[in-house]
Amino acid sequence: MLFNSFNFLIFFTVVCLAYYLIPHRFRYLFLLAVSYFFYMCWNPKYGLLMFISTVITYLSGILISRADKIQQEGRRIRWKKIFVALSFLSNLSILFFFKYFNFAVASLNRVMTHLHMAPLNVSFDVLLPVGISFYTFQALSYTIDVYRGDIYTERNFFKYALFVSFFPQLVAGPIERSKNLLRQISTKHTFNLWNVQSGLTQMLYGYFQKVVISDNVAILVNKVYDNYSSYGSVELILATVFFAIQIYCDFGGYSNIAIGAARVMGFELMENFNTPYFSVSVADFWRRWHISLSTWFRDYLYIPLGGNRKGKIRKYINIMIVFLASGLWHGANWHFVAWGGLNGLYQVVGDMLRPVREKVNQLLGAKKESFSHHFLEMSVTFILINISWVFFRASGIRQAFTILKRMVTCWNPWLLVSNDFYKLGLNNRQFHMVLLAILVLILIDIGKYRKKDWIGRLRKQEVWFQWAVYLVLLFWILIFGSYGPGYDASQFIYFQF
Amino acid sequence: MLKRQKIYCVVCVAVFLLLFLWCFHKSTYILRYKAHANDTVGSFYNEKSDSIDVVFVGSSHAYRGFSPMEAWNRQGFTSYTLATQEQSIPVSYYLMKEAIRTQHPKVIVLEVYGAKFKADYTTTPRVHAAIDGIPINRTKLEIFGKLLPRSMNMSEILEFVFPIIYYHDRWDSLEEKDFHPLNSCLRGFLVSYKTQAQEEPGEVPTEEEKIYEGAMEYLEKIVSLCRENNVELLLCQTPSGDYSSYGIVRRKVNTVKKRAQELGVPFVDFEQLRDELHLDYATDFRDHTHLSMYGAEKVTNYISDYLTEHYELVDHRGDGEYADWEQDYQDYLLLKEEKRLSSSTEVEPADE
Repeated sequence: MLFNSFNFLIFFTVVCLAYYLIPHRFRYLFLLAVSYFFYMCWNPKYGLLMFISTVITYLSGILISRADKIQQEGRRIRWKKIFVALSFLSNLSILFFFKYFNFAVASLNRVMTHLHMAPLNVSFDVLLPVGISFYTFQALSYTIDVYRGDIYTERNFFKYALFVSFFPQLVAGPIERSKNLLRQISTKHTFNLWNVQSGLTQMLYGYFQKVVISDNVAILVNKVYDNYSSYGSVELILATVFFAIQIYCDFGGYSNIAIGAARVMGFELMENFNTPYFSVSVADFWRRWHISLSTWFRDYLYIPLGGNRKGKIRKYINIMIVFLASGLWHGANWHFVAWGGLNGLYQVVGDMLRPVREKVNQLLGAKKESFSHHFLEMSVTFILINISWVFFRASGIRQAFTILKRMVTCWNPWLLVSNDFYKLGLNNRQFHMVLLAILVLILIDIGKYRKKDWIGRLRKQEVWFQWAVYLVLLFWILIFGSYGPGYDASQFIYFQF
Repeated sequence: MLKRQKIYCVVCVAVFLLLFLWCFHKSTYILRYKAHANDTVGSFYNEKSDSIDVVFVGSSHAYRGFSPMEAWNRQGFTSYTLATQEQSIPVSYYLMKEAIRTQHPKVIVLEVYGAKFKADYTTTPRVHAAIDGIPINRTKLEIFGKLLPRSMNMSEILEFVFPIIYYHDRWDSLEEKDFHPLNSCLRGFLVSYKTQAQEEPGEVPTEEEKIYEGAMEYLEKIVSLCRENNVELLLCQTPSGDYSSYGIVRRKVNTVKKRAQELGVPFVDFEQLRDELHLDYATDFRDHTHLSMYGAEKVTNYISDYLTEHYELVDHRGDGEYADWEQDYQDYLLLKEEKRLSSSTEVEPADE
């Protein structure tokens, strides 16, 4: 059941109505049941897999808290570490088997062919369970949080199972922390009109991002990227910038729908995107992009590795490890690893060159607080991020290099003033509509960047104005959205990860 | 929350919903594909209630053959051609139901080319074109329940319930005519001066070929529907210019004709009336099965005389209440002339 399917709209309406009608003490059971239903609509077998992960991490929590009662410190720590390790090992093994096994065998075989050895002939025809990377990470965060004493041990299995399977954020995040979501499951949520209104508004905006912007720009991106060798610089650069918008609106839109849907039911999920393309450095970008994942890697990988406390070299190595892992998390393919590696490299090199940059700024008398200086930083960051997106979107590393090369060598600026521009999958009317939608996106992001949340500000406006905004958004989606027949409800990109 | 606040809230939500529904309805109308620029079915509801004497129902053969304005000029009765592409007999049945409900005509004429189809549901675009103009009412719900195939999935059904889902992609090709119906004077007919010479076909085949069970069942339902509502039913087949590819249809029509006789329903067989019509095979067809404007004039004149002769139709010409028909006829003449002059250059879509 995709968020942009009619089935989900019906499902969500029924769930919300029922949710507020049934007594509070049964609500978590009800949400658990519908969350499993939601998940098992893809494939009933997936439900079992999620259940296994849930049981393992639930037990790990209980065992860790038992071990916590051991008097002798050495034994206590040893047992706690054993339980954490077991939970990680079993969960990551499942993830590895379903997501990376075939990739690992294929990569190994490539090495073996180079060494003139017989390739392994094993492959499993397994379908990647939707959202497995998301809920596995979420469940693992609970194990560590219990280990660190950051969260109480949840003894009610059903409440814990709901924490892992909560349907709004189950298949594509935000990857919630037990500290935030698990506590809310036990809280009583009474009906609050503003929650419902603002939640629905955020969902509406999410749909706008996904159905109007992302799915429409995707037409051009796919056309150019699927046949990159016949396009020149202008098309490739345009397609890459459009891909940056596509993936932001796809994933950001999904997060907005998830956060909005949860808020309608009284839950507050963490923010996942905070105007990422206004970042002034790559490190800043990663504080604003897919926040729930970056902070996961920070809390559960970067800091345990030693973070920046063990000297520069170790810090750089740790950054590289985190970003290579993040790349691999996004997909079982080397071009994702390259994308992650490049983002890590940007930060390492950026950090190394900091003294040089400061020297240059000093020499040139740069006005570091001026708009133009920030704009320059933002532009450079945006360009760097776009270069990395080429690796993400291309079907392989070699293709990515070819595309980057063509961007520089096949210069064809005359295209900008010719009608061929409108033959890239979007005709001129569609192209202008998309640009207008992107303008709305930019304006809303500028507001957000200045800490002015548009939904909160909308509340302060006259009722007629609020309605007008809702109607414009609704009909923009209904009329200009990419949905319905002739349109293959292109799956949310991030479901595959 | 205070009681007053609660009431305010409910009123706000209600007004918003009404506003939303109004916008939804309007945008659905604008985006909806208007069959041949006429929005035949949708515009039918714009006619004053109980103002139409005769309704012609059927596939493209009907809208290429029966011109309500020619009939008006000839005999002075009012009529409407409620025909859409590839209209199957079951679809005709539901359109007739709507015609009876809103207009209660004296006579319904069914062109039986639809007997050719092998299923109630021909193709998705054709069924959309035929039923999307019908407002949500009992007939439409019946169509959803009985005409849409059981195998249809939820989203396809929703496309019929809310046609905006099906049509919204048209937004980038909207034209002025999508915002307000044009050529309403045509009343379902299509003017085409395109001609294609046909060789005079030989003998009309007399053999019969079984028609699809559903079509036969609905044919019988049509007969009882008209009888229950005291509406006269007349079946007919417009002439065709070629039997080599068309023979199978004629053999199926023979089956329908025989059944009509058994049920005591009159049948005007234009294929057998070639001489009376003075058909000219050089100019009266626009392709091998469809009539051109010249052929349509002959067929309409003939059926107008037949209807006036056999049924009690009133001549409304000169009646002040029907002044708009007089005006529409003048518009129709202008439109015809315009079409005739531009016929050599215009490219027209193919029919079924």
